[in-house]
Amino acid sequence: MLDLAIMLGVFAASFKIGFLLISRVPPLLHTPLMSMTNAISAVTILGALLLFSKDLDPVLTVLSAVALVTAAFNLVGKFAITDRMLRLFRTKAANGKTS
Amino acid sequence: MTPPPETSPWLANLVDVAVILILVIGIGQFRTPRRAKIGNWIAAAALNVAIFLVLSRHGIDNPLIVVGASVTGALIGVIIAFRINITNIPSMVALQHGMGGVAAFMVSIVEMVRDAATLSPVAKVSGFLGLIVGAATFSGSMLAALKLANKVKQAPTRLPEHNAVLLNLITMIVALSALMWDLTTPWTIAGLIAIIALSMVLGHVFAMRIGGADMPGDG
Repeated sequence: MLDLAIMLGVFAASFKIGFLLISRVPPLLHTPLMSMTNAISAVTILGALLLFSKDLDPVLTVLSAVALVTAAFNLVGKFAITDRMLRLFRTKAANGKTS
Repeated sequence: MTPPPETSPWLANLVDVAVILILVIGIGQFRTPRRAKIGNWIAAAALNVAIFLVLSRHGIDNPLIVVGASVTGALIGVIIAFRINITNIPSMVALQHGMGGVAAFMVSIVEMVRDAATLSPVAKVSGFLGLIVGAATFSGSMLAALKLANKVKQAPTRLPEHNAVLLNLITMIVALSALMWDLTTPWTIAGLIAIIALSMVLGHVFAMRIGGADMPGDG
């Protein structure tokens, strides 16, 4: 029960913290913010990793490996794409916003 | 598989809080474009530390598969992300998100099948949620990715009584989940796969309605 209470507490605190953090981001950065927070949602990768901490039969091993590949793709890809999005700001600023 | 050495729980909790703080600081950098660029990598570092912590706290069977799968996914992710055209970025974000959905329902179904007899009610509920939301996320994001890439018509599709269709799907999915509550039956796997399939339909029907003004492109 204590475990559940702690989890619910963390869940509720995350709402508050998330709201505080996100409400202060200027509209200019909303799109890269969305991309970066999507990258954070790839925390699923921790679940995929934990699948391998116990015994798995061959079929489950394949499924777990798929989970890990897709989670890694999501995690790394999203941070990389957020970086690309943010680089666009720099080039615009450097070129004096030609578009 | 040798269990890793025990560390004091207080130290572990402190480390966890530190990782969370790093993540929050990373998100908090999104005030100016230059700070945001650094903030993005700070957040990435926090997640990588979390991965390292999970790996070091739990003995991992099959380290070769774990490393192989992670590196494969990461490589494909970084190569594709840096090579696509700028105009394809929104579509790629949707694709990556869909992959995250796949990871979610895969993790859920493996845990529910393997630990069928020992899962607590809370774990079962979160397992079913993982199946449903993961599968719906996958199909919905895939449709969004296709629409954003202009591979599928961008105009929204509305079915007659669209909301009723969605409600019916959700009801069926919830009912099926309740039926599958006992995970140790011979038809459990079939039932879980059916929940995944229905949830994919739900995601697709849900995402059908997007389009029009929110889709950039010349379609």
